[in-house]
Amino acid sequence: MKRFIKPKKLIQEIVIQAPIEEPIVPNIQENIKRLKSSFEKCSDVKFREIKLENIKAFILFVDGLVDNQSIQFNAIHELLSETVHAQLTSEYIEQRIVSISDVIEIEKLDDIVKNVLDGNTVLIVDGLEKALVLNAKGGERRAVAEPETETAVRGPKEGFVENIAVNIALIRQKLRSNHLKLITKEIGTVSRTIVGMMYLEHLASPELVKEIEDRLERIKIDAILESGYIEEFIEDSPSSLFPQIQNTERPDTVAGNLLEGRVVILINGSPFALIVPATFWQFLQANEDYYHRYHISFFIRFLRIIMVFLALLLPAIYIAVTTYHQEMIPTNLLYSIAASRESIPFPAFIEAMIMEIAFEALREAGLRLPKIVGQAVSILGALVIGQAAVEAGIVSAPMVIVVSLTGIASFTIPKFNMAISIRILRFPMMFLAGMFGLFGISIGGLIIVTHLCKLRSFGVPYFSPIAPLKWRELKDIFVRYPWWAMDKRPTQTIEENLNRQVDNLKPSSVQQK
Amino acid sequence: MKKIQHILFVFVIALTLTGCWDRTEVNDLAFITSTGIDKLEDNLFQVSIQVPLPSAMGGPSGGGGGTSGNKPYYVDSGIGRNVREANDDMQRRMSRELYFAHRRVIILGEKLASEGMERSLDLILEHPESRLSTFMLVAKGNAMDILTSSPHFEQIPAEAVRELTKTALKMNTREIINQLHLPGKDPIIPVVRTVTTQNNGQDEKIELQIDGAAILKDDVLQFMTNDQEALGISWLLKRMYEKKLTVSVRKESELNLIVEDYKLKPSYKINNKLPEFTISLFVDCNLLQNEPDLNLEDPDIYSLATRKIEEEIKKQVAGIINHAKSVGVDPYGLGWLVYRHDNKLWEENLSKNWRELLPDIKVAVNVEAEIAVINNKGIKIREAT
Repeated sequence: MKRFIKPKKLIQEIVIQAPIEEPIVPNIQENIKRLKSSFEKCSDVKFREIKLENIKAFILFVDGLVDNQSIQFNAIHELLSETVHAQLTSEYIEQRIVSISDVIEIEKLDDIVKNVLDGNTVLIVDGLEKALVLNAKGGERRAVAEPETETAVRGPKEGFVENIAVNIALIRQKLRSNHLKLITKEIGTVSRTIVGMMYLEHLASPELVKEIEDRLERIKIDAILESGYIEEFIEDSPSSLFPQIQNTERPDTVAGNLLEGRVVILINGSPFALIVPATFWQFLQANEDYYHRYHISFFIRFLRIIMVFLALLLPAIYIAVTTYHQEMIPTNLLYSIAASRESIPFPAFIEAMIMEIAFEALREAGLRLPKIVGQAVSILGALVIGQAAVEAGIVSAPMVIVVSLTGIASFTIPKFNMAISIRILRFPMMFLAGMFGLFGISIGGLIIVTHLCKLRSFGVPYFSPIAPLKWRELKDIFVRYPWWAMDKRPTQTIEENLNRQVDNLKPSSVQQK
Repeated sequence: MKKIQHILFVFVIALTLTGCWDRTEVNDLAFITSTGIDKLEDNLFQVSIQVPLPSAMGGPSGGGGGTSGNKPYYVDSGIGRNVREANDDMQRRMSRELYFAHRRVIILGEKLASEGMERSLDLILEHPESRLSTFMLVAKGNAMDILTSSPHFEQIPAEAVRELTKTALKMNTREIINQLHLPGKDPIIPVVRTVTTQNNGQDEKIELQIDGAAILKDDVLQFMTNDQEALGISWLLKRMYEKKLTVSVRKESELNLIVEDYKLKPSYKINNKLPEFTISLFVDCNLLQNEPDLNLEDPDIYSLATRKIEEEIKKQVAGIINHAKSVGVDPYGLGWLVYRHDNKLWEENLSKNWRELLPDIKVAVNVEAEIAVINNKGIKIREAT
């Protein structure tokens, strides 16, 4: 039994290189010497030496992170052509010489290092105790393009990129209000990733914002490379299979969630923004639901809920019904199932397992491979698994139908992380069905529902507004009411400013006259 | 924490120890589509079953198993002192477990029905797999002959019987078993018989036909109805909706009608401590074909036509009631009507000798028919041309 018990872990401190807390000295040689030693073997850090008349100056930057054109014309060129008057101060340089919009003064050597690594350009002039940071970030970036993971038939076609500044601007363009607040932090001792929290001040509850800030503050790590890192550090129940934080690549989804009082976390270097808190139903909703006419969304949401059930339970129900409850199958259907199962060597459960695992493997293989090879995989899979297995009598045709229907059903879930959770849960359900029949399925279903009701995401019950039930908010869960009927925001995180719009927005012939 | 791990450990062990002990794969079951019960001699029953052969029913990987030629089913029977023993007798030569949950039809042989069938039906009530929605029929002759027939349309004869029953009387096991013990009501079971395909011997097969009803006295077959009486039974059991009716109006010319809607109102008066029954029928029909070219817009001709229809229906209904009455059987449940409305009278005067009283009970049949929709044949006033 002892093996099961984990030894208690000691809280470890991560080793950080001690910062150079020294000030900049007037002697430039001294400064350069120290900086060169801290940038030793960093050949991408450039030390450009220039002379203002006869005062020595250095421009420091990382090659590839700065806008070379801007530095060249707005800093170097201006500095070189300047005939210096008697007293050269940092103010003078800032105000009279350098024509770059964002310039700040710093006094510590450590700040120079940080700024250079951030992609800024630092100007050190002999005899001054201050250095100037010239903000001319540049470098190669991916252009704003249509998000690949969340495509839409109707709706904005722009998606987030890896650069946080661009992402923030994309959101700001959608919500041009001074209520939209941004708090930035740096997380990661090595990566020093910029993490930004955005929320609408008048909607998001201050406790929620505080809680998220605290949770972000807790993270002490060397590097954050993706929003997934943050997600795992701040979620409520790390052991739960269900995602408790939503991620999105779409600025419009972010804006919509901000308007419902949620908080968005943006991570530099990742095109995925995190949305907290998240409820179960959020993962079954697509941004397009709100853009199409409501009849369409009404139908599609119903379809999705049916599909969630199918994705979770269909193979399990098939196993249970064909091995325990044959009386439940309509007679003629049973005959066809019996006919196709006649020469199958495996029990239904093993058969289902083979097919499900093959399907998951196929899906994963198709996902990871380069696109050209991916097609070959899908052809192979369709042919080998779909046809050959049936013809060879290894798998029955109804089982292939069940598995492919399940696969399609799981693809209708708009959010990938929820789809994969449901796909994983399918396997325990199949086990239960194979062992206890429908009884096992009901037990499994009960466990899942209980777990969902118990889960919380940043204090919001995960299954709300179904459990606890809030009638008024059901208008945006199984169905989507028309926009003119959704005059109140959901109350999960909002306490004040509940009104979204004025009343009586429903178009009618009387009013429009 | 440690406690939770202990509990989990126990659970995992428990899970591995339980197992799929009552798991049965579909291909380990013999789905019985229908059962036929025949009585051979006293206390010796022959139970025949019809089982589809999945391997012969098509499916992508057919082949194999087809034992009885091209037929996708086969029939086997067992003999025993009761139905259950006969089943066990059969099971001994079957590699698959007999499975009754999908049984659609139970067919009772004529001999069994005429010597009392109730005890043979016990199994249906007792066996958890058998369904009360299974249709029950009486065979003219042996029940096994019905199972071995080969109707053209359906792959499996049981399916044919089921579909035929649906269009005719349609009595399921629950209704029949309920009726067995109703005071003042005797059960009615549809009759099925075999006929050969009527096509001058080309591709002749044994087809099935629903042929009236068996009228029982308690659980014993009393007589089987003829065609006219069968219609009467249908009227009384309210199974005549959407059914067709042919009424002879003049010599060699008939009206064809379809019953659109009808109401059946039984009533009775007590006269000298004996009930006198009146069964009223209000029938709405639509005209399908007007062979005698009657102008039904003329009130006189219309009333003539409805009178003919009324007479026809009356003949059918009175026919069966009088026939049953004369042998002391009460298939409509005249007694049951009194039992419900005048229980005291029933218990005191009628219940004991209802069967003896029955031949002398007066039953009047009133029919009021209307033709709701007519066609324009026979109408002389036409559009001016």
